[in-house]
Amino acid sequence: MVTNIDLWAKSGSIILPGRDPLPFWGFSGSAGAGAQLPGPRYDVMEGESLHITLSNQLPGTTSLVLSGVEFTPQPVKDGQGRFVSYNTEAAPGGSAAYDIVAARPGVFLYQSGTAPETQVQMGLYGVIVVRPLGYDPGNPSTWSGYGPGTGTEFDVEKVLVIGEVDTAWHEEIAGGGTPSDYDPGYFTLNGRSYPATVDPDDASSQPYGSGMAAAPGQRILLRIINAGFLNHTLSLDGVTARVVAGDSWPLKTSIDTTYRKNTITLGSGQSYDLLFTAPATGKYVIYDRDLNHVVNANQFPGGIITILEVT
Amino acid sequence: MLRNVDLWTRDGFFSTPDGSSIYFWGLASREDGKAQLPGPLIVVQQGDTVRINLTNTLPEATSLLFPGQEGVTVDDGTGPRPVQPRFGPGGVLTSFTDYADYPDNPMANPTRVTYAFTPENPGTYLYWSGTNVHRQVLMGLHGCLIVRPADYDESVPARRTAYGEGTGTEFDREYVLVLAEVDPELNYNVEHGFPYRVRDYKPRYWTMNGRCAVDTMLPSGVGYLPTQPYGSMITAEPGEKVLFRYAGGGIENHPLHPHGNHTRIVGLDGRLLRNGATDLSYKRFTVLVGPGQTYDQIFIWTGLGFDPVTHPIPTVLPQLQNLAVGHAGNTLWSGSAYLGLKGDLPVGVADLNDMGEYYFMLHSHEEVQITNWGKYPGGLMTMVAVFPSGRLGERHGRIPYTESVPV
Repeated sequence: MVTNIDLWAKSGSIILPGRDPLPFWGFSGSAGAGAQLPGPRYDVMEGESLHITLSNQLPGTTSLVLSGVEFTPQPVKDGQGRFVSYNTEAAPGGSAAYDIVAARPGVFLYQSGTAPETQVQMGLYGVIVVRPLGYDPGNPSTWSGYGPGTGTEFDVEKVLVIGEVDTAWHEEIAGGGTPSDYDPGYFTLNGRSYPATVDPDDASSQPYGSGMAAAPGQRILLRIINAGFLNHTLSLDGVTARVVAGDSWPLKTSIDTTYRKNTITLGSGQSYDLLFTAPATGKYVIYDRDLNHVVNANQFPGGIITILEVT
Repeated sequence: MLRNVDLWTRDGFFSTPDGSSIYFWGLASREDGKAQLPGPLIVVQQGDTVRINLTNTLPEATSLLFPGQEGVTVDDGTGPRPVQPRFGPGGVLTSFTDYADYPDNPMANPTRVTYAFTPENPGTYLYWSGTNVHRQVLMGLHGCLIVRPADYDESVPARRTAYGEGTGTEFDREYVLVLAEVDPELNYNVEHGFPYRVRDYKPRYWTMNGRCAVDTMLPSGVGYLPTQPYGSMITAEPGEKVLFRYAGGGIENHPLHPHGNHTRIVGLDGRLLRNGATDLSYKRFTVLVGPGQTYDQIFIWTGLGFDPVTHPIPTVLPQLQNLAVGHAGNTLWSGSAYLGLKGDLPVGVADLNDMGEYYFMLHSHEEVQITNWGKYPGGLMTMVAVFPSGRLGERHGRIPYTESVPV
């Protein structure tokens, strides 16, 4: 069976706290919908074949790569033999198709493979969650990150995609320029900066909230993936989690190499799955321990902060 | 056992080897004491009832977080309750935890709060401010908390451990290295009430236990560094187990390594690397010390081919860059290839070697971090000194555990 995923690369605008709408490039999941940050989240099953069609409505070429999913990239060179894209490009107004197999469970980034240093910063990234065999969304007893024996059963799941926004880059790239001196002033969880991170999911161009709710004793699987260019260090206040997977490789296989951690650093493209039991009722802050990332353009509080509410 | 720890926030100045005197916010362990960088080392035992009494004298509210501790409560005079983040108008976070207000706040909230917790896990932890964290933690409001295992007994080698008897974490000596970095211009801005703009952040100094090299190698408690009481010189004898407790107090990554040697990482963030019978400890040369994280390691110096029976001394000469600090006119090298012997040094070379001990560097391999405002040597650098067997004495590298706040 082949599952079709249709993506459109489009320009749009996002709202960051305390400033005017900012141009960005993002993916949308339908011809009529606007671009969103991050791109639409897809849930697929382990072993599923995916036929992804990318339609390009941006002013320049773009393409798609999936980090951590095995595929044979088709690098593109320009007329002078210079490498310009990791994978088959879609011309402006055109489209390209990619066939991959979601061979193993986990959380994977999909993102632009063309001039990614600008296009990924512009917002061309999203996440595909691959469910382990046996996972049934309607049956909580089957919920786990990586299947039986991996110690990743959960009651509540949250995907947190980390990013950054350099507003000067966005304005310059949207105007056709070539920026330099990357210096982001905004830091994002699921495309939003605090306090917007704790707002619920909505239909905006930044549709995914990062707030969490659970009951005491529930098992929470926190799936963190860094789509930014910088290192980020998430710290859990009042909670010590168990690291159950790194880069979507479960750490409990024939031996249990999971370990406990209160604070964890993610480099660009890295992911960790953290499992913990919801503590006593109350609010728990989850934030970037690189404390330069808890501001919005110098203003505290902002950036990478979200809240778990246990009730 | 009840452990009361009294802390006062206070401002002060700390010194760098190149002559700077930098404003900072720190914690004092006595009401009339000086602020210190990092905050006082707190040593408690697993299962203790730990009460941290924080009194604020700074011009803004402050607080303390105890990452890795669960069930922390706060008492601001109305009885203990679980700590909670505080929110201001519009529901926006004002503090990650309950805080001690600043004196003379017209809102008249208490300037003293008591946090309490019962550490369930032994290991190394950090504590740091939970209020205006983007500024206060970097201004110096952070420190290290050691939790001794419940069965800890300093006089019984099998129970002088990081994580308890039978966990493979016995040690003969132990050293804490709290790492951080300082942008003196941002500190200046705080001193003078100018805006603190994190986007201007550009650290010029990197601190190991609050000091920049070469001050890191001075003893603890030297009188001319009154706000930086902790030294970082590591001393040991061949074959001894030395516990390194690295702690990332700042916001940067710091890749530390001891030249020519390895450590075994036995615990992270105050949690033993072991699942049941499965030992998850691992060896590393360079340990990337991330912000807010701790790394407990066992280090054993066995020398270059050292074997206590067949080959009791190292015979391969170390590289010169491992022997000198700064210009080659000063050397820590003994002049001899034999541990415990001193040999001849070239004329004009100042000898800093005591008894034929062997030195090698432990430093951040991100070399900009071993400068003081661009000048090498400085920053995150210290030495490991291996003394001849039986010559070092027991008191080196023994952190008192009966006191809550030593030094």
